[in-house]
Amino acid sequence: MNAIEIRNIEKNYQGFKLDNVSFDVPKGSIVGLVGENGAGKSTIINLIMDIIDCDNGTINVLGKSNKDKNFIKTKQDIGIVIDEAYFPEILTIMNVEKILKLTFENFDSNYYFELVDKYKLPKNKILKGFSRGMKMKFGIITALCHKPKLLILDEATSGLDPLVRNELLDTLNEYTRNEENSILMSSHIVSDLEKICDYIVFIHKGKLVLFEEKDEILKKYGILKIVESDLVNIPTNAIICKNKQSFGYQLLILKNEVSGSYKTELATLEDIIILLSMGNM
Amino acid sequence: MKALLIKDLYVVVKNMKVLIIVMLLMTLFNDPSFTIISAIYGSTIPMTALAYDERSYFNKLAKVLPYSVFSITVSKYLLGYIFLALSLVFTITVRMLFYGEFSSTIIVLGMIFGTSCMALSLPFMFKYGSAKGRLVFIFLVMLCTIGTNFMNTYEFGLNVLNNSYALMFLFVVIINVISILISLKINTKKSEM
Repeated sequence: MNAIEIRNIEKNYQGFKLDNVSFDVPKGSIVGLVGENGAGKSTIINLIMDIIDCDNGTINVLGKSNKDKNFIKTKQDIGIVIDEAYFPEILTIMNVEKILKLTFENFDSNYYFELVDKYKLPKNKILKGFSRGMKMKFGIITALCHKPKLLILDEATSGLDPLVRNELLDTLNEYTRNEENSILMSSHIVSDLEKICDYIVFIHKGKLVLFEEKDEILKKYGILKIVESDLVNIPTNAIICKNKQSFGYQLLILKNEVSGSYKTELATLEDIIILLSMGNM
Repeated sequence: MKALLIKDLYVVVKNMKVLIIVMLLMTLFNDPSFTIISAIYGSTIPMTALAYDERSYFNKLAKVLPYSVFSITVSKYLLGYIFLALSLVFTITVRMLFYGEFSSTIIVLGMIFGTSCMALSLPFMFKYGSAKGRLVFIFLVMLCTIGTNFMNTYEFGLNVLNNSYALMFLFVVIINVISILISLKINTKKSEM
Protein backbone atom coordinates (compact mmCIF):
# COMPACT_ATOMS: atom_id res chain seq x y z
CA MET A 1 0.00 0.00 0.00
CA ASN A 2 1.09 3.55 -0.66
CA ALA A 3 0.85 6.34 1.89
CA ILE A 4 0.38 8.83 -0.95
CA GLU A 5 -0.70 8.14 -4.53
CA ILE A 6 -0.52 11.01 -6.97
CA ARG A 7 -1.91 10.44 -10.44
CA ASN A 8 -1.62 12.82 -13.39
CA ILE A 9 -2.03 16.00 -11.40
CA GLU A 10 -2.06 19.29 -13.22
CA LYS A 11 -2.22 22.82 -11.93
CA ASN A 12 -2.09 25.91 -14.08
CA TYR A 13 -0.96 29.32 -12.91
CA GLN A 14 -0.04 32.30 -15.01
CA GLY A 15 3.53 31.53 -16.12
CA PHE A 16 3.68 28.13 -14.43
CA LYS A 17 2.19 24.73 -15.06
CA LEU A 18 2.47 21.62 -12.95
CA ASP A 19 2.25 19.15 -15.78
CA ASN A 20 0.88 15.63 -15.46
CA VAL A 21 2.81 14.61 -12.35
CA SER A 22 2.41 11.08 -10.95
CA PHE A 23 4.33 9.41 -8.16
CA ASP A 24 3.81 7.42 -4.95
CA VAL A 25 5.06 7.53 -1.43
CA PRO A 26 5.26 3.81 -0.56
CA LYS A 27 4.31 2.93 3.01
CA GLY A 28 7.32 2.78 5.29
CA SER A 29 9.55 4.79 2.98
CA ILE A 30 11.09 8.25 2.88
CA VAL A 31 10.54 10.04 -0.40
CA GLY A 32 12.57 13.13 -1.21
CA LEU A 33 10.95 15.80 -3.35
CA VAL A 34 13.60 17.89 -5.02
CA GLY A 35 13.59 20.71 -7.52
CA GLU A 36 14.73 24.29 -8.02
CA ASN A 37 12.88 27.27 -6.56
CA GLY A 38 9.50 27.52 -8.24
CA ALA A 39 9.70 23.98 -9.65
CA GLY A 40 6.38 23.09 -8.06
CA LYS A 41 7.36 21.29 -4.84
CA SER A 42 5.25 23.43 -2.51
CA THR A 43 2.39 23.39 -5.02
CA ILE A 44 2.44 19.58 -4.86
CA ILE A 45 2.33 19.66 -1.04
CA ASN A 46 -0.51 22.20 -1.10
CA LEU A 47 -2.39 19.96 -3.55
CA ILE A 48 -1.82 16.89 -1.35
CA MET A 49 -3.22 18.71 1.69
CA ASP A 50 -6.10 20.04 -0.42
CA ILE A 51 -5.23 23.68 0.30
CA ILE A 52 -5.52 24.26 -3.43
CA ASP A 53 -7.50 22.40 -6.09
CA CYS A 54 -6.01 20.33 -8.92
CA ASP A 55 -7.05 21.23 -12.46
CA ASN A 56 -6.69 17.53 -13.27
CA GLY A 57 -5.69 14.30 -11.60
CA THR A 58 -6.28 12.53 -8.31
CA ILE A 59 -4.52 12.29 -4.97
CA ASN A 60 -5.02 9.57 -2.37
CA VAL A 61 -3.58 9.98 1.11
CA LEU A 62 -3.47 7.03 3.54
CA GLY A 63 -5.97 5.19 1.38
CA LYS A 64 -8.46 8.05 1.07
CA SER A 65 -9.03 10.64 -1.60
CA ASN A 66 -8.02 14.08 -0.41
CA LYS A 67 -11.37 15.25 -1.82
CA ASP A 68 -13.21 12.97 0.60
CA LYS A 69 -15.54 14.83 2.97
CA ASN A 70 -13.82 13.11 5.88
CA PHE A 71 -10.30 14.10 4.80
CA ILE A 72 -10.14 16.19 7.97
CA LYS A 73 -10.14 12.88 9.91
CA THR A 74 -7.26 11.62 7.74
CA LYS A 75 -5.37 14.76 8.77
CA GLN A 76 -5.35 13.37 12.31
CA ASP A 77 -2.80 10.83 10.98
CA ILE A 78 -0.65 13.38 9.18
CA GLY A 79 2.15 15.42 10.70
CA ILE A 80 3.26 18.41 8.70
CA VAL A 81 5.98 21.02 8.86
CA ILE A 82 5.72 23.99 6.55
CA ASP A 83 8.65 26.33 6.15
CA GLU A 84 8.06 29.66 7.93
CA ALA A 85 4.61 28.66 9.26
CA TYR A 86 4.48 28.37 13.01
CA PHE A 87 2.22 28.89 15.99
CA PRO A 88 1.85 32.58 16.92
CA GLU A 89 5.18 33.85 18.20
CA ILE A 90 3.75 35.10 21.48
CA LEU A 91 3.00 31.51 22.62
CA THR A 92 5.26 29.19 24.58
CA ILE A 93 5.88 25.45 24.26
CA MET A 94 3.62 24.97 27.31
CA ASN A 95 0.79 26.91 25.58
CA VAL A 96 1.16 24.95 22.34
CA GLU A 97 0.92 21.65 24.24
CA LYS A 98 -2.54 22.64 25.48
CA ILE A 99 -3.60 23.60 21.95
CA LEU A 100 -2.30 20.40 20.35
CA LYS A 101 -3.93 18.29 23.03
CA LEU A 102 -7.27 19.70 21.86
CA THR A 103 -6.32 19.34 18.18
CA PHE A 104 -5.14 15.75 17.88
CA GLU A 105 -7.03 12.74 19.24
CA ASN A 106 -3.79 10.75 19.61
CA PHE A 107 -1.71 13.57 21.08
CA ASP A 108 0.89 12.21 23.48
CA SER A 109 1.98 14.83 26.04
CA ASN A 110 4.74 12.62 27.44
CA TYR A 111 6.28 12.13 24.00
CA TYR A 112 5.92 15.87 23.31
CA PHE A 113 7.88 16.83 26.43
CA GLU A 114 10.32 13.98 25.85
CA LEU A 115 11.18 15.48 22.45
CA VAL A 116 11.26 19.02 23.91
CA ASP A 117 13.78 17.84 26.50
CA LYS A 118 15.75 15.91 23.91
CA TYR A 119 16.16 19.05 21.80
CA LYS A 120 16.77 21.17 24.91
CA LEU A 121 14.07 23.70 24.01
CA PRO A 122 12.95 26.19 26.69
CA LYS A 123 9.39 25.43 27.78
CA ASN A 124 8.39 28.88 28.98
CA LYS A 125 10.15 31.13 26.48
CA ILE A 126 7.94 32.70 23.82
CA LEU A 127 8.51 31.35 20.29
CA LYS A 128 9.57 34.82 19.10
CA GLY A 129 12.85 34.33 20.95
CA PHE A 130 13.58 31.03 19.19
CA SER A 131 16.30 30.77 16.54
CA ARG A 132 15.38 29.31 13.17
CA GLY A 133 16.92 25.99 14.20
CA MET A 134 14.89 25.92 17.41
CA LYS A 135 11.71 26.79 15.50
CA MET A 136 12.31 23.96 13.03
CA LYS A 137 13.01 21.48 15.83
CA PHE A 138 9.80 22.60 17.50
CA GLY A 139 7.96 22.28 14.18
CA ILE A 140 9.11 18.66 13.91
CA ILE A 141 8.03 18.01 17.52
CA THR A 142 4.54 19.41 16.88
CA ALA A 143 4.31 17.23 13.76
CA LEU A 144 5.41 14.05 15.54
CA CYS A 145 3.73 14.23 18.94
CA HIS A 146 0.42 12.76 17.78
CA LYS A 147 2.17 9.68 16.34
CA PRO A 148 1.18 10.34 12.70
CA LYS A 149 1.39 7.66 10.03
CA LEU A 150 2.56 10.17 7.44
CA LEU A 151 4.94 13.05 7.85
CA ILE A 152 5.13 15.81 5.25
CA LEU A 153 8.02 18.23 5.47
CA ASP A 154 8.27 21.28 3.27
CA GLU A 155 11.82 22.66 3.32
CA ALA A 156 12.14 21.67 6.97
CA THR A 157 15.94 21.59 6.91
CA SER A 158 16.68 24.67 4.79
CA GLY A 159 18.64 27.44 6.46
CA LEU A 160 19.80 25.20 9.30
CA ASP A 161 23.40 24.50 10.25
CA PRO A 162 24.71 20.97 9.56
CA LEU A 163 24.59 19.94 13.24
CA VAL A 164 20.92 20.80 13.64
CA ARG A 165 20.15 19.20 10.26
CA ASN A 166 21.83 15.98 11.37
CA GLU A 167 19.84 15.97 14.61
CA LEU A 168 16.59 16.39 12.66
CA LEU A 169 17.54 13.68 10.17
CA ASP A 170 18.24 11.31 13.08
CA THR A 171 14.77 11.99 14.46
CA LEU A 172 13.25 11.29 11.05
CA ASN A 173 15.21 8.05 10.75
CA GLU A 174 13.96 6.99 14.15
CA TYR A 175 10.40 7.80 13.08
CA THR A 176 10.59 5.50 10.04
CA ARG A 177 11.82 2.55 12.12
CA ASN A 178 8.12 1.85 12.45
CA GLU A 179 7.34 0.40 9.03
CA GLU A 180 3.84 1.89 9.12
CA ASN A 181 5.31 5.39 9.01
CA SER A 182 6.17 7.25 5.81
CA ILE A 183 7.73 10.61 4.99
CA LEU A 184 7.46 12.97 2.03
CA MET A 185 10.17 15.55 2.37
CA SER A 186 10.87 18.44 0.04
CA SER A 187 14.25 20.09 0.23
CA HIS A 188 16.83 22.08 -1.69
CA ILE A 189 19.57 20.32 0.20
CA VAL A 190 20.10 17.26 -1.94
CA SER A 191 22.79 15.88 0.37
CA ASP A 192 20.17 15.61 3.15
CA LEU A 193 17.86 13.70 0.86
CA GLU A 194 20.71 11.44 -0.25
CA LYS A 195 21.39 10.62 3.40
CA ILE A 196 17.93 9.43 4.37
CA CYS A 197 15.62 8.99 1.39
CA ASP A 198 14.58 5.69 -0.17
CA TYR A 199 13.06 7.30 -3.27
CA ILE A 200 13.70 10.54 -5.10
CA VAL A 201 11.16 12.61 -7.00
CA PHE A 202 12.77 15.31 -9.12
CA ILE A 203 10.52 18.06 -10.42
CA HIS A 204 11.89 20.52 -12.96
CA LYS A 205 9.84 23.46 -14.26
CA GLY A 206 6.62 21.74 -13.19
CA LYS A 207 7.43 18.42 -14.85
CA LEU A 208 8.34 15.11 -13.29
CA VAL A 209 11.86 14.27 -14.46
CA LEU A 210 12.73 11.43 -12.13
CA PHE A 211 10.94 9.11 -9.73
CA GLU A 212 13.12 6.21 -8.75
CA GLU A 213 14.67 4.41 -5.83
CA LYS A 214 17.67 6.36 -4.65
CA ASP A 215 20.03 3.36 -4.66
CA GLU A 216 18.93 2.50 -8.19
CA ILE A 217 19.63 6.08 -9.33
CA LEU A 218 23.12 6.04 -7.83
CA LYS A 219 23.82 2.60 -9.33
CA LYS A 220 22.44 3.41 -12.76
CA TYR A 221 23.84 6.82 -13.54
CA GLY A 222 27.43 7.98 -13.96
CA ILE A 223 29.26 11.04 -15.16
CA LEU A 224 31.50 11.01 -18.17
CA LYS A 225 33.78 13.89 -19.14
CA ILE A 226 34.86 13.80 -22.74
CA VAL A 227 36.27 16.07 -25.44
CA GLU A 228 33.89 17.06 -28.21
CA SER A 229 35.39 14.70 -30.80
CA ASP A 230 34.64 11.66 -28.58
CA LEU A 231 30.95 12.45 -28.37
CA VAL A 232 30.18 10.43 -31.53
CA ASN A 233 31.61 7.27 -29.88
CA ILE A 234 29.11 7.32 -27.06
CA PRO A 235 25.87 5.46 -27.86
CA THR A 236 22.98 7.91 -28.04
CA ASN A 237 20.79 5.70 -25.85
CA ALA A 238 23.41 5.89 -23.08
CA ILE A 239 23.31 9.68 -22.86
CA ILE A 240 20.69 11.02 -20.47
CA CYS A 241 21.81 14.60 -20.87
CA LYS A 242 24.89 16.59 -21.77
CA ASN A 243 26.31 19.80 -20.50
CA LYS A 244 28.82 21.76 -22.63
CA GLN A 245 31.89 22.82 -20.71
CA SER A 246 35.25 24.43 -21.55
CA PHE A 247 37.03 21.05 -22.06
CA GLY A 248 34.21 19.46 -24.04
CA TYR A 249 31.17 17.75 -22.56
CA GLN A 250 30.06 16.50 -19.19
CA LEU A 251 27.57 13.70 -19.77
CA LEU A 252 25.11 12.03 -17.49
CA ILE A 253 25.08 8.48 -18.77
CA LEU A 254 23.59 5.07 -18.13
CA LYS A 255 26.68 3.24 -16.91
CA ASN A 256 25.64 -0.12 -18.35
CA GLU A 257 25.35 1.28 -21.86
CA VAL A 258 28.88 2.64 -22.10
CA SER A 259 31.88 0.43 -22.91
CA GLY A 260 34.67 0.00 -20.40
CA SER A 261 37.13 2.05 -22.47
CA TYR A 262 35.52 5.18 -21.04
CA LYS A 263 36.06 5.73 -17.37
CA THR A 264 32.89 6.96 -15.75
CA GLU A 265 32.88 8.89 -12.49
CA LEU A 266 30.55 8.10 -9.62
CA ALA A 267 27.70 10.57 -9.60
CA THR A 268 26.28 11.91 -6.38
CA LEU A 269 22.59 12.65 -6.24
CA GLU A 270 23.44 16.35 -6.37
CA ASP A 271 25.51 15.86 -9.58
CA ILE A 272 22.62 13.98 -11.17
CA ILE A 273 20.06 16.62 -10.20
CA ILE A 274 22.26 19.49 -11.39
CA LEU A 275 23.01 17.80 -14.71
CA LEU A 276 19.38 16.94 -15.26
CA SER A 277 18.48 20.58 -14.57
CA MET A 278 21.19 22.18 -16.68
CA GLY A 279 21.97 19.66 -19.36
CA ASN A 280 20.44 19.19 -22.80
CA MET A 281 18.71 15.91 -23.48
CA MET B 1 -12.82 24.88 17.53
CA LYS B 2 -11.86 24.65 21.21
CA ALA B 3 -8.18 24.37 20.29
CA LEU B 4 -8.36 27.49 18.11
CA LEU B 5 -10.24 29.44 20.77
CA ILE B 6 -7.69 28.47 23.41
CA LYS B 7 -4.89 29.50 21.05
CA ASP B 8 -6.50 32.90 20.48
CA LEU B 9 -7.18 33.36 24.19
CA TYR B 10 -3.50 32.72 24.99
CA VAL B 11 -2.51 35.29 22.36
CA VAL B 12 -5.02 37.89 23.53
CA VAL B 13 -4.55 37.46 27.27
CA LYS B 14 -0.84 38.22 26.77
CA ASN B 15 -1.91 41.56 25.29
CA MET B 16 -4.47 42.31 27.99
CA LYS B 17 -2.43 45.01 29.76
CA VAL B 18 -2.67 47.43 26.83
CA LEU B 19 -6.31 46.53 26.28
CA ILE B 20 -7.28 47.20 29.90
CA ILE B 21 -5.37 50.52 30.07
CA VAL B 22 -6.99 51.82 26.85
CA MET B 23 -10.46 50.73 27.98
CA LEU B 24 -9.97 52.24 31.42
CA LEU B 25 -8.86 55.60 29.99
CA MET B 26 -11.77 55.68 27.57
CA THR B 27 -14.31 54.78 30.22
CA LEU B 28 -12.94 57.45 32.58
CA PHE B 29 -13.63 60.18 30.02
CA ASN B 30 -17.07 61.24 31.07
CA ASP B 31 -18.20 61.34 27.48
CA PRO B 32 -20.77 58.86 26.15
CA SER B 33 -18.95 58.40 22.80
CA PHE B 34 -15.76 57.32 24.54
CA THR B 35 -17.68 54.99 26.81
CA ILE B 36 -19.29 53.35 23.79
CA ILE B 37 -15.92 53.02 22.07
CA SER B 38 -14.55 51.45 25.24
CA ALA B 39 -17.49 49.07 25.30
CA ILE B 40 -16.98 48.02 21.69
CA TYR B 41 -13.20 47.73 22.12
CA GLY B 42 -13.62 44.03 22.91
CA SER B 43 -14.85 43.45 19.39
CA THR B 44 -11.41 44.45 18.06
CA ILE B 45 -9.90 41.35 19.70
CA PRO B 46 -10.37 39.04 16.67
CA MET B 47 -8.20 41.55 14.73
CA THR B 48 -5.36 41.14 17.22
CA ALA B 49 -5.62 37.36 17.02
CA LEU B 50 -5.74 37.47 13.20
CA ALA B 51 -2.70 39.78 13.08
CA TYR B 52 -0.68 37.31 15.18
CA ASP B 53 -1.84 34.43 12.95
CA GLU B 54 -0.72 36.32 9.86
CA ARG B 55 2.64 37.30 11.31
CA SER B 56 3.56 33.67 12.03
CA TYR B 57 1.69 32.32 8.96
CA PHE B 58 -0.46 30.29 11.36
CA ASN B 59 -3.39 30.84 8.99
CA LYS B 60 -1.47 28.70 6.46
CA LEU B 61 -0.61 26.09 9.07
CA ALA B 62 -4.22 25.93 10.29
CA LYS B 63 -5.34 24.85 6.82
CA VAL B 64 -3.19 21.72 6.94
CA LEU B 65 -4.05 20.83 10.54
CA PRO B 66 -7.31 18.99 11.31
CA TYR B 67 -9.36 22.18 11.70
CA SER B 68 -12.45 22.70 9.59
CA VAL B 69 -13.06 25.98 7.73
CA PHE B 70 -16.09 26.39 10.01
CA SER B 71 -13.91 26.17 13.14
CA ILE B 72 -11.25 28.52 11.73
CA THR B 73 -13.91 31.10 10.82
CA VAL B 74 -16.43 30.87 13.65
CA SER B 75 -13.77 30.74 16.40
CA LYS B 76 -12.84 34.34 15.53
CA TYR B 77 -16.46 35.49 15.85
CA LEU B 78 -16.83 33.63 19.17
CA LEU B 79 -13.66 35.29 20.42
CA GLY B 80 -15.15 38.68 19.50
CA TYR B 81 -18.44 37.94 21.27
CA ILE B 82 -16.64 36.75 24.42
CA PHE B 83 -14.48 39.86 24.61
CA LEU B 84 -17.30 42.21 23.70
CA ALA B 85 -19.27 40.79 26.64
CA LEU B 86 -16.22 41.10 28.91
CA SER B 87 -15.57 44.69 27.81
CA LEU B 88 -19.21 45.59 28.51
CA VAL B 89 -18.91 44.12 32.00
CA PHE B 90 -15.62 46.00 32.45
CA THR B 91 -17.19 49.28 31.32
CA ILE B 92 -20.14 48.86 33.69
CA THR B 93 -17.80 48.03 36.60
CA VAL B 94 -15.51 51.03 35.96
CA ARG B 95 -18.48 53.40 35.58
CA MET B 96 -20.00 52.12 38.80
CA LEU B 97 -16.70 52.47 40.67
CA PHE B 98 -15.85 56.00 39.48
CA TYR B 99 -19.24 57.57 38.79
CA GLY B 100 -21.63 55.35 40.75
CA GLU B 101 -23.86 54.91 37.71
CA PHE B 102 -23.95 53.56 34.20
CA SER B 103 -26.26 54.08 31.28
CA SER B 104 -27.96 50.94 30.01
CA THR B 105 -28.50 52.79 26.71
CA ILE B 106 -24.77 53.10 26.27
CA ILE B 107 -24.26 49.44 27.06
CA VAL B 108 -26.93 48.38 24.55
CA LEU B 109 -25.50 50.77 21.96
CA GLY B 110 -22.03 49.36 22.70
CA MET B 111 -23.32 45.85 22.12
CA ILE B 112 -25.08 46.80 18.88
CA PHE B 113 -22.18 48.85 17.51
CA GLY B 114 -19.61 46.28 18.69
CA THR B 115 -21.24 43.26 17.08
CA SER B 116 -22.07 45.27 13.95
CA CYS B 117 -18.54 46.65 13.53
CA MET B 118 -17.14 43.16 13.99
CA ALA B 119 -19.65 41.59 11.62
CA LEU B 120 -18.94 44.22 8.95
CA SER B 121 -15.15 44.17 9.25
CA LEU B 122 -14.31 40.46 9.77
CA PRO B 123 -15.06 39.37 6.18
CA PHE B 124 -12.68 42.13 5.00
CA MET B 125 -10.03 40.88 7.39
CA PHE B 126 -10.36 37.29 6.18
CA LYS B 127 -10.24 38.47 2.59
CA TYR B 128 -7.60 41.22 2.67
CA GLY B 129 -5.74 40.63 5.93
CA SER B 130 -5.86 42.28 9.32
CA ALA B 131 -4.06 45.49 8.27
CA LYS B 132 -6.63 46.45 5.64
CA GLY B 133 -9.47 45.08 7.78
CA ARG B 134 -8.35 47.36 10.60
CA LEU B 135 -8.91 50.39 8.34
CA VAL B 136 -12.48 49.24 7.70
CA PHE B 137 -13.00 48.79 11.43
CA ILE B 138 -11.66 52.29 12.23
CA PHE B 139 -13.98 53.73 9.59
CA LEU B 140 -16.94 51.89 11.13
CA VAL B 141 -16.05 53.08 14.64
CA MET B 142 -15.91 56.65 13.29
CA LEU B 143 -19.39 56.14 11.84
CA CYS B 144 -20.59 54.84 15.21
CA THR B 145 -19.16 57.90 16.99
CA ILE B 146 -20.78 60.26 14.50
CA GLY B 147 -24.03 58.31 14.83
CA THR B 148 -23.91 58.54 18.62
CA ASN B 149 -23.31 62.28 18.50
CA PHE B 150 -26.05 62.64 15.92
CA MET B 151 -28.46 61.08 18.38
CA ASN B 152 -27.20 63.85 20.65
CA THR B 153 -29.28 63.15 23.71
CA TYR B 154 -29.21 59.71 25.17
CA GLU B 155 -32.77 60.12 26.33
CA PHE B 156 -33.64 60.13 22.67
CA GLY B 157 -31.48 57.07 22.15
CA LEU B 158 -33.09 55.36 25.08
CA ASN B 159 -36.53 56.05 23.71
CA VAL B 160 -35.58 54.67 20.34
CA LEU B 161 -34.06 51.58 21.91
CA ASN B 162 -36.94 50.98 24.31
CA ASN B 163 -39.30 50.95 21.39
CA SER B 164 -37.21 48.74 19.16
CA TYR B 165 -35.13 46.32 21.25
CA ALA B 166 -36.47 43.35 19.33
CA LEU B 167 -35.76 45.05 16.03
CA MET B 168 -32.23 45.95 17.06
CA PHE B 169 -31.60 42.40 18.31
CA LEU B 170 -32.91 41.01 15.04
CA PHE B 171 -30.67 43.40 13.08
CA VAL B 172 -27.60 42.30 15.07
CA VAL B 173 -28.41 38.60 14.57
CA ILE B 174 -29.05 38.99 10.83
CA ILE B 175 -25.93 41.05 10.18
CA ASN B 176 -23.79 38.54 12.10
CA VAL B 177 -25.28 35.49 10.36
CA ILE B 178 -24.71 37.11 6.95
CA SER B 179 -21.18 38.08 7.97
CA ILE B 180 -20.34 34.52 9.11
CA LEU B 181 -21.72 33.09 5.85
CA ILE B 182 -19.61 35.50 3.79
CA SER B 183 -16.48 34.75 5.86
CA LEU B 184 -17.09 31.00 5.48
CA LYS B 185 -17.31 31.47 1.72
CA ILE B 186 -14.10 33.52 1.68
CA ASN B 187 -12.21 30.96 3.77
CA THR B 188 -13.56 28.01 1.79
CA LYS B 189 -12.33 29.47 -1.48
CA LYS B 190 -8.93 27.93 -1.90
CA SER B 191 -6.20 30.49 -2.25
CA GLU B 192 -4.18 30.59 -5.43
CA MET B 193 -0.61 30.24 -4.18
